[in-house]
Amino acid sequence: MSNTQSILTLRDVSYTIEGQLILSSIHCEIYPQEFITVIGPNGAGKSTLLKHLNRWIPHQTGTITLHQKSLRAYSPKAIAKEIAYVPQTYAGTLSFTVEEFVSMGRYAHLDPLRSVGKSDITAIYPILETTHLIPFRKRILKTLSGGERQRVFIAAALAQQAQLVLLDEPTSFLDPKHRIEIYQLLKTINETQKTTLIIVTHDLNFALQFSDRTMALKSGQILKFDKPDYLTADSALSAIFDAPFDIINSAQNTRSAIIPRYYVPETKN
Amino acid sequence: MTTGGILAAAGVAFQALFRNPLATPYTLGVSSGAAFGAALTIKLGITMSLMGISGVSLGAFSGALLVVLIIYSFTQIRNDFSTSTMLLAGVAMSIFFSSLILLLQFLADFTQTVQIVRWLMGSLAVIGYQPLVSILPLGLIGLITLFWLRMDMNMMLMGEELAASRGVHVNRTKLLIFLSVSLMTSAVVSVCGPIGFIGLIIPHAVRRFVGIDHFILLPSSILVGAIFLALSDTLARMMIAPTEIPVGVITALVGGPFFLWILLRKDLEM
Repeated sequence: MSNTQSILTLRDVSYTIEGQLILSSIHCEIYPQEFITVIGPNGAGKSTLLKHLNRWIPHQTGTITLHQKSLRAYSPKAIAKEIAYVPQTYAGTLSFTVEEFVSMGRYAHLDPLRSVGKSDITAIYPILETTHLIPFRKRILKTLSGGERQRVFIAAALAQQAQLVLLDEPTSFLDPKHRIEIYQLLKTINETQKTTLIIVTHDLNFALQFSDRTMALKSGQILKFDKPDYLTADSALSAIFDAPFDIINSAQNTRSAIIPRYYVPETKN
Repeated sequence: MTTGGILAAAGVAFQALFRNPLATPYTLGVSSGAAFGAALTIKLGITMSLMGISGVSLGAFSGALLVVLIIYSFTQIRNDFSTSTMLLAGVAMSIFFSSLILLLQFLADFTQTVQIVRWLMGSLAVIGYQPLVSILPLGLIGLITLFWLRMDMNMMLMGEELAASRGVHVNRTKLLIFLSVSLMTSAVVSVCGPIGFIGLIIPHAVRRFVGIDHFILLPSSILVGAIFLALSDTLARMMIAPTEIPVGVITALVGGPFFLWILLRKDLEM
């Protein structure tokens, strides 16, 4: 990958709030079509890092370049055409229909004097199809389940037609079936649309099995940013999370699973 | 009718900006500033007029502008356009100026006090043709700006962070909404007094029927606001004719129960 040009480059990016160091001298490069996961304990700076990448938080020190041009030099619409974002929690109104919400993802591509019209709704049909939302297109967000809503948020981000999509814990509130559905959807997008993904997650097995590279953040610093195999190495995870883990290997040693080690306290005789 | 339309549109915009169903065009203290300006002019007995606009109106407009300026510089000093800061600053301004009005009433003689109270009720009675012409430019500029921002207002309903990630220039949008709403509200209030409830109930009532898309919501609210105020005014003139009840009393009397009825039927949704 080192011979291709990076999409995003971070050099010495630090962020301090109220005297508290949240990100400390972050250096990294993101390449086209990479499937990247970001793991780390709560408070490690994962969400803050994502918010730096879409400039919701303007960087205080260091440089962030998008396509070899400083992120500061982009207009809000220009950034939106390159980077889309799926937040951890949605705080907005749930009164939109699926069609409305997804087509509003095209804001950056619209003429400011026009409204979202019929042509914009047809433009999002392929996206509704990939995200299996066609049957839900007239429904109001309020009436959808958590898994369906998450697909809508991803679809809206895809409607932005950005090369890079940032997702902040897209599966934290989902049951196993819907979780896997989202993982497979993300993989499909990554492969067929050549979209670069940066996904903050607490699901270590997902990171292990799906990512091209996994970034381990702790106390605002990158501990490691490499192929996810390192997660199965002895004590790699306990160094990141300060907790013990077991690695289980399948019979043919083709797949590994990570489980946190815990003890059930004996309360009965 | 112009007044009703402007107040309703202003309410729509502020409810989108603050994402708060209780926001009205008066939320940031514009009406209190105007009322103070009017009360001060009455107390000082200034009777000069300019281009057919009465001294009281001019005083009210200056008072409203003063509040807009204070809130604006406040956000600039803090370098922060957070909506909760603005809301709290607005509440503080309202309380401050209301107290000043009470002080003025205490100091004023009886006729002046009656005049001040009458003004606070909001009335269309004294409106001639001339004041209307003078508020029209500000009103139009404000309405055009809001209509131009209709898509941004839709986007703001997703929450500021998500709107920004979709390419909305969030701070510019907020500043423009704040300025256009404040200026057109100041213009209206200075001529008609603080006619209540229209900016609060019309947007909610209309949203109930046409949905949350500002492309439809804005013009419908303007229309319904205009009709509602015209009807209220007619009622105000007829109820105990030939005496004309201040129209602000009617809008609140009709508006209050009507609003409760809307609340009964569905939750407030933004």
